Amino acid sequence: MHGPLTKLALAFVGTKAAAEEVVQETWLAVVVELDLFEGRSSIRTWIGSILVKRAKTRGVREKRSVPFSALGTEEAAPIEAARFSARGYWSDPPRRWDAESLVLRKEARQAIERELEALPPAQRTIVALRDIEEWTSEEVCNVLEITETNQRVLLHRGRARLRAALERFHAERAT
Amino acid sequence: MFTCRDATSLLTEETERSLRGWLRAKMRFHLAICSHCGAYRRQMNEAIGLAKETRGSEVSSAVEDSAIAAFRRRGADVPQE
Repeated sequence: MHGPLTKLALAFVGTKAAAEEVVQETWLAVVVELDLFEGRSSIRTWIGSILVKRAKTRGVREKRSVPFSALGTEEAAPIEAARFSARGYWSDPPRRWDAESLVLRKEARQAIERELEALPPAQRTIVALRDIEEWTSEEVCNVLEITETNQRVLLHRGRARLRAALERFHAERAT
Repeated sequence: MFTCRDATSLLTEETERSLRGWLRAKMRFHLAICSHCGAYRRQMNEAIGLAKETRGSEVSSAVEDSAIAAFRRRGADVPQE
């Protein structure tokens, strides 16, 4: 669980070092407070909530006090408007991607990794928790204290950016 | 009219099963007949699949040492019967 906790902390603090410190503090708090866990939520949600409280406090100290729900929702639509006609149908549709070799898949995965790092923090956090670590929507919303709708918007935008990165990767290979 | 722009913007809602009623039906029909949107959905699923493959399982040694030290201190506080 360490990986997803670090990714979660990075949504609130400025550096990976600060995120690692928050995660370390969280694990220590978990050890101390484990007797207080009543089982009303999953252990994952409980640990995530402890981390988010600590990360938010750290974020305020670092003067990064933008609410999580406001991060990553300000950018433009996931697909450029010019790819649709005025009536809303594809004018520049997705192209077929070549069949994969193992080498191509490895390079494609690296392209995805780079794009994951480049995502706005909130989108990166949601994609990491939902798609990589397979937390449920309820767990993510409870820990981050955001609405289902907000969570879906961030997830969609993050996924769309990953798909666009893969499209660029395949387009570059085709030229 | 339900368009390709509508379908691509609602893809995540469709996978999250949060579309209801008539909108859900329109989405399913559109995906069944539009090869471009079908391709877009497959490509998004491929991107998600590749993202899952990036999952690592690293635990930093500093964190591990802290956790072990904390467990040992807890053990020292527990009364021995």
